[in-house]
Amino acid sequence: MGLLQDTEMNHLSKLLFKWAYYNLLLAGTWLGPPALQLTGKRLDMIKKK
Amino acid sequence: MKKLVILGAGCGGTMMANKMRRHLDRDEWNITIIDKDNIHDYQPGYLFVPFGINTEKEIRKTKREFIKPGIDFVVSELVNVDWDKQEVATSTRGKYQYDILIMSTGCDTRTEEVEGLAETWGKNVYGYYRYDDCIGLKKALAGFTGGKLVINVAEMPIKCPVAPLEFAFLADWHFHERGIRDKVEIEFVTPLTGAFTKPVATQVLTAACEQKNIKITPNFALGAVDGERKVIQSYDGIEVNYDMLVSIPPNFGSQVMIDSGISDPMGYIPVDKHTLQPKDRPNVWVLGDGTNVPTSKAGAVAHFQADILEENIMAFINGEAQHARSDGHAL
Repeated sequence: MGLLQDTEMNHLSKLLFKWAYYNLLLAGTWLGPPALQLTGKRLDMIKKK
Repeated sequence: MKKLVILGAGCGGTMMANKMRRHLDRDEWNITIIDKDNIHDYQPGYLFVPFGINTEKEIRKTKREFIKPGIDFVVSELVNVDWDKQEVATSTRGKYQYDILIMSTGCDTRTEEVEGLAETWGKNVYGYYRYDDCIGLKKALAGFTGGKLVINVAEMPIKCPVAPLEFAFLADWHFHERGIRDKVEIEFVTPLTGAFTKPVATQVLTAACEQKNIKITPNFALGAVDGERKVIQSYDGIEVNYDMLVSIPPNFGSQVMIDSGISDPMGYIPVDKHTLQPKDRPNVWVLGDGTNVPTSKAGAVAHFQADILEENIMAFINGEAQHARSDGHAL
């Protein structure tokens, strides 16, 4: 459980992704538009460069 | 009966087979997917096997269980692809003609491409890009009680470019858990100019490495491995010593593509990066790690590419214009 102490969300995300991989991705399920999504991107950091 | 043939039943090929089966009438279209074996490895799980976090049961399944009914699954080694004859040949199941071909044969590591690497593999050099290698590394890590652990990327491109850094962070955690982190020096040696390929991520990951006391040695193009002296050498003469080396060997596309004369020298199939089609081959599409597209080699990329192929292949079959374009992103 030591791994979970400071990376709990990361660990849970990996478990969720594994489930999605086996049950949604390989099944060819449509999960959203294939175009690039900008949600969550740190555009402010890119503009500074 | 028209024939859709898919090469490779990994992530990309399985997704495409299942997508196309939903669209194509079973009385009109036969779908065949060909692969050399029936083992489907959850490759993101490889990274965690050496640390005992993932087990074989969790990440190793059969390919058949993910391929939907109505799709012929052929287990045989692919030996030739002939775009002119619209035909592929297998080692034990003969030849298959196609009306449409989807290729998703991926890439793999080649230790023999670096001087000294194949000879030292499994002795004091290990890897985690194949399941058997993960098991070897797990045993080696369990017996490692102190010294210098070097994680080295031989050259780009590689599958899942962030995985080597993840390995370094997991190693840091692993040695902390065992109470020996102060006896282990961790060095990340990379051909990149920094911790990662993208500047924003590099900034964040460099700080994380500093926090975890992981040294980064950038701009290191691996030339040779000297297992006797426990040293890796760069092409320009720089040496880094190690007690245990975790190596990410050069990645190559499928040898069959090279032998069939349809790839570049590294086995990657040249395609238009937006349509994912080879030049002048209107009934052939390629997705996943086996293309020469300048994007990450990752399942997430293959997933988004599959959506593009699905739309364009259906447009092709229906005689309509193909509008979908891949932008190569992973997330």
